[in-house]
Amino acid sequence: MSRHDAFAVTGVGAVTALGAGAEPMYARLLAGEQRLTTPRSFDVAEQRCRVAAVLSPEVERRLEPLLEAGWSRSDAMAKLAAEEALADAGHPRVDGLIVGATTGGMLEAEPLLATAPEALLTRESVLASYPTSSTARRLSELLPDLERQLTLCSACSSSALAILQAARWLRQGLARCVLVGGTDALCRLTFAGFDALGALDTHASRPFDAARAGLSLGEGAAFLVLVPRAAARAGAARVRAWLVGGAEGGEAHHITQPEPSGRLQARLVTEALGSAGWAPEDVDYVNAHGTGTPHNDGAELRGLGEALGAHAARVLVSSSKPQLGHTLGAAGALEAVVTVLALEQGVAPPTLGLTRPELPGAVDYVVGHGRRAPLRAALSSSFGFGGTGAVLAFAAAEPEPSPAPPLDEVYVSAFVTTEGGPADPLALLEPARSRRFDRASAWLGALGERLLERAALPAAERRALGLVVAQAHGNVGRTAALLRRLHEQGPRRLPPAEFPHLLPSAAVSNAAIYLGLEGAAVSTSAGALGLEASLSVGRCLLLTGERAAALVGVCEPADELTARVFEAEGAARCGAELGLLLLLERRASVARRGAPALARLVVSELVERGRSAARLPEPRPGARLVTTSARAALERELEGSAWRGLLPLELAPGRPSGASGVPALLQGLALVAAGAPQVLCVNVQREGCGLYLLEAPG
Amino acid sequence: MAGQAALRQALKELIIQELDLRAHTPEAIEDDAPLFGAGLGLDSLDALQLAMAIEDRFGVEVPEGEEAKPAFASIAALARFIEARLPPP
Repeated sequence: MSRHDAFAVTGVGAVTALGAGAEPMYARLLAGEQRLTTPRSFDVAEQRCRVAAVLSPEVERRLEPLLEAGWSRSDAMAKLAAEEALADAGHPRVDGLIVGATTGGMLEAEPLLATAPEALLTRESVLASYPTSSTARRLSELLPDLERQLTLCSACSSSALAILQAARWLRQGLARCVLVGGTDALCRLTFAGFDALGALDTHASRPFDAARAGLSLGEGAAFLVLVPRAAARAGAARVRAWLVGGAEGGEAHHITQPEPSGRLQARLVTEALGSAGWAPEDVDYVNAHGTGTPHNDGAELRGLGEALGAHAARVLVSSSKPQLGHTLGAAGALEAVVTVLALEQGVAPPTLGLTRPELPGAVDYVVGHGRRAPLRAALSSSFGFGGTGAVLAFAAAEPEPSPAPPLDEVYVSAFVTTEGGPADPLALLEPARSRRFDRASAWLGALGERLLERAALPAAERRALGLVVAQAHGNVGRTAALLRRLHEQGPRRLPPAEFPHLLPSAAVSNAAIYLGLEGAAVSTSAGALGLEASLSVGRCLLLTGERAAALVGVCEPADELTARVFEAEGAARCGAELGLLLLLERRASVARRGAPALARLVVSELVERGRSAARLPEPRPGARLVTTSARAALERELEGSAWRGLLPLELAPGRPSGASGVPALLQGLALVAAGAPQVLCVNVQREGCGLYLLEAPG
Repeated sequence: MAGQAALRQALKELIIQELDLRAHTPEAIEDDAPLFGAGLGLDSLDALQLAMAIEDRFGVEVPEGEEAKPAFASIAALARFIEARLPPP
């Protein structure tokens, strides 16, 4: 976030092991309640660990009608939490929706994938709820004023990154009221995967304790309603707290192990303080990621110490994970809700299970029960597999306004595609650094390397690059293979190194580590509109100057099952994979390098159907229109805009998977290169409408 | 000692296969070179994966964490560890 940004949290909602409702949950957190039980959604009898923070019986009862109506558990949980947040905010006109998640409908799909993967293709409700984007699609039905929806995955920091993306939408005028959160139902794969990694404490996690032995998994959903300052002043809803800063990034270290010195944590806390305009002394409370694994907690405390200096010892710190469990994709939003309530109530929640800190005195540990204290400023940290993380800064009171700098301009400076590449992209990579890569990971590594060679960015700029790539379902074939093994041989024979590669963000993480990128690596899930989703996020990252440049694109796994899932969802069938990676740069970055850009990216949006016309400026003389969509759909989408009068250049329908927008974008870039002053590329799909407006770079 | 040589060869092939060391050939892996850290550059995730693969292939239980370190020092150490635990022929 930028220095002057402040957004009001006007609503919160959560469903967790501690019950339905954010406030009841918070009261139980303060009271030190812990309810780890045996998961009932699947069998854990053969696991080393047999407990988790599963949803309370009260929540289960409320989920039942939704599950009977064919909702996935992840989607149903999200609905309860989202409805609470909306009611809490006084039912505002939400125009933006962002969900962070890692598992989607995995729980429901697992029995099929393990035994008869083909059956997934014909089981409509299971297939529809399989991708993480299902949650936003389901929730969009509750939101009549919705203009845009987005689904992000960056492993266990997913919904923290979602909150930062919501802030960008509000800051950049792309939304006026955003519902943002995360959801993840516990499933066999998650449970057996973490257990195989030896990452689970068989009793209960004990963050920061010298004897800590792993994490406790959990499940839940949490949502927040965010609005800009002006809306908060004008609106009737009470402001619970202010989101005043935050930072996201990566450490490009290892797919599962955090870098031990806590360099990433230190950097993100420092950047979050900078964006909030705080000195270390201003921080009163930190809701830590605090998983309870030996590696995470040490790195995190060292990072906090590095960033906060002597003040660290006076900062109240706790981890809510012994009570809420590690809820993966939901954790960032859930702990943001906890942090908001801590500020509002002036009580910091405790860490349970902490009796003998490994680093005594490093921070002021809150243990046992909540501790009352004047809390004005608090941080919430989230980190995940692949080394991507985010730190959010919340304040109890509205900060002084300061003038907002103008938005920057964003350019496409180079692109590469998989076309004409070798049959096996792994051949392009260093074998020792690309072990266990699937084709999508390999392509992203190879495309990234070619793009970076071509762009010749200075080392520091190269390192700071963000990576945003669409991957709608993760690698379904690889997931099915592991589930089959789990089904046939039991959880104790699950190969541990395989599990981290099944996350929807695995390919971006692998590529970011391979390329040494320390901006955030994040995947989007938007069905056929994956490219559009990624490009819109990448452009947002640059508009407010958070990044000077980013690599964005799409590269879906080419395994047979993933391809067939896309096909079953209605995407066109095509023989080969098509991956595209673009280098986006801010004006200053392009100018400094003195390299000619390909086009200025004036608009890059993914909007709900029927919302396109309002997003578009008037066409200039000589403007061109490119589409892969049917004429009728295009005309409906452009109704009310002067663009409707232009004769479109119609391309063959797009490729399968999230790359459906690739042909139109490439054609648009070619037209700009050939002298067109302005090209609008339109991709109308079931999921929404993708828009790119390209202009000559000038 | 012929059994030891065959076991070492089998272990090298297993490691290459299970840990995706696709640039390596069994011939290029030295019996006494360290597997972790320097050497082959393996990490703790590889240790977990390798432990499971050895249990699957040889039916030999591999300890976890620090206890496993001496056994995982090199191909030769691993072969000795397994041989000492294999049922007599």
